[in-house]
Amino acid sequence: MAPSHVGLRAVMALAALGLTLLPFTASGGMVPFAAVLVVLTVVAVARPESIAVLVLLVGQAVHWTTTAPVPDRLPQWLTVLGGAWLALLVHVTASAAVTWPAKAPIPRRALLRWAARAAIVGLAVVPVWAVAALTREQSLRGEVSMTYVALAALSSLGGAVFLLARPSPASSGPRR
Amino acid sequence: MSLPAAPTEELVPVRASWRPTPAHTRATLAGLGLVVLGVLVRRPELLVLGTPLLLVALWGVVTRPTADPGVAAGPRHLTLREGQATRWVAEVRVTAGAEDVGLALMPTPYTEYDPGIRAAAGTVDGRDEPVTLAVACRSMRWGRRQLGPAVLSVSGPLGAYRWAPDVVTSAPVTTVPLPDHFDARVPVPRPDGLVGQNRSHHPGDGGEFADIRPFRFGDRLRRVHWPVSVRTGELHVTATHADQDSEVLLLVDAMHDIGTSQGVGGRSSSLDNAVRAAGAIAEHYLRSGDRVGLHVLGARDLAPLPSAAGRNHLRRVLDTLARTRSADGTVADEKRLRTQLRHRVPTGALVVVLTPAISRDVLGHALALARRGISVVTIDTLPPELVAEHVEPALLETVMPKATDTPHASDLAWRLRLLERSHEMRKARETGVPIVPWAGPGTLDIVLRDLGRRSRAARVVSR
Repeated sequence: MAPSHVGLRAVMALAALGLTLLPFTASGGMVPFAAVLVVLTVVAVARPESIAVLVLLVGQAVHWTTTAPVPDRLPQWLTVLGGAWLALLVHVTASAAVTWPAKAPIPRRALLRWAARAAIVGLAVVPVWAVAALTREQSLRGEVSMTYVALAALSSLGGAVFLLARPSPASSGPRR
Repeated sequence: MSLPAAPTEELVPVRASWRPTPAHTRATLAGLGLVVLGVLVRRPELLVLGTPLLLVALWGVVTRPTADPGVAAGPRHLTLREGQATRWVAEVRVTAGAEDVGLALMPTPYTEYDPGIRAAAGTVDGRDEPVTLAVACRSMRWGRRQLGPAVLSVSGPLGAYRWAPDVVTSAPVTTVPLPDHFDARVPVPRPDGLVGQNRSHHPGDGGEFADIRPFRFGDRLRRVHWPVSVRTGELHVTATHADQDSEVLLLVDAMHDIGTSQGVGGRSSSLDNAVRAAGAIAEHYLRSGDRVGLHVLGARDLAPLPSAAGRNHLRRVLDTLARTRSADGTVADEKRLRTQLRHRVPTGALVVVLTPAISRDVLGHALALARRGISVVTIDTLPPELVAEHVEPALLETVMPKATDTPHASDLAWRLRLLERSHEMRKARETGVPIVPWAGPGTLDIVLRDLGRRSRAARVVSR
């Protein structure tokens, strides 16, 4: 395995382990659950193309939600932001690890481009995080109707992503 | 790493289509799932955790590649000599949205790769130039092999979409044997052609002195031998032997491939020795203007090559040798061998049998040809390390399966077979079939001289 790939997987492992430990800093966390997540991390790092990465990300979210209380102070909210960035890092490094052959060194230019895009996405998370934190801070009472509107919007977004993500029949030519 | 002088081959276009990757599916499912769950159960931290994944999925969809990249791939040369190298190249003309390119080749026997990892990675550099990935492949042994297959992929932004054919296969590369150095100073015993460089028994125009005889009508004046003519008072001329071409028939025994083959510069198996020696003999005689034919005994799907002369015929001989594969040792192979042994041998041809002398049928065929009055030379191609006092068990594995499990018994069995073989070879020599080990230049000189003497003597043959 090329050193650049080893580096990518090391970053992925560190990010996943950090994400496992974050709920403990937010007065949550469960050791058996965390142990399972560590095992999943090992599997995901060894097989970044497998479904283990999806299970790991979902498992991390479930671990956080079921064991840690809803954040209400700034340090706890900062922990959530860190968690979002770590989840992004796990996903992006796993994607990059399967884009090139593991034995071939990754071009530096490509690594820089991937890092820049991950940073842009990371920055784009901040407004969402700020709105969520402010909403909680102001103790705004939600409205049931607005929840339904949000769910409908998300469903529409999901449907649109699904339709766009389908392989178009025009581009699927004969295979060699 | 030497490259062939042959012109480079056109790369073959490769077709596939853009498809979403498992990473994109993961980002979409996890992102949407977490955000929806966060809204449903009113947990804002779930919403924040799912947001980056959802954004990555949206980025991938928005910047989705729309047109297929133009990809052409394959080896640059389809014919090599042993030890020569070519490049397995993938040329990608990128379109909007295509960014990262990866190439990995599966290992091929008897092929060295540079880089040794057999993989390459590339990326677009912003200019409208094709991305070219290449892996150098050096063929270490004669034969016809397919390099790869290769796995090739072109990825879109953040690895959301991938353009990747299942596997990229290419036309097989023929590696012709690198003939050993061979030279024979003794002519073929009984040349029986039209024009050539070998001295025949017949009188005629030639370079070698035969006799001084009285002038006859039709003799050229420049042949008049003046000293004898003056002394005798009658015109005498110098008579010469005619120079004629001869026919050499190569019989390569491919019934067994004994020993380890490590390619150029390494250990050679019996079939390696036979193929390289046949190539060297063919090259020598074809360059001298003789005709050379080739029969590969025991090989499947390999038609006999009729005798012919010329440089193009050398290419045909080497190509046929490159496509030689040893028999599997089945009953069908034995039957095929018996059919192949019923071939025509022209009178006056020199038959060179290249065999490890393990198959009795081939040695028996050489004996039968010799009894018919045909000049036969047998070249022993058994690797010397298999005739040594102590044979490595790993080497014996090539002769008898599971030899490493019972090394002593296997060694003993091989000794007995060698004794039997030497007995058969002694009988063959006594019958008049010279057997010589392959030793490069001059291998055939002594036996050809003996055969030449013998061919001039009276004898009884069976037709």
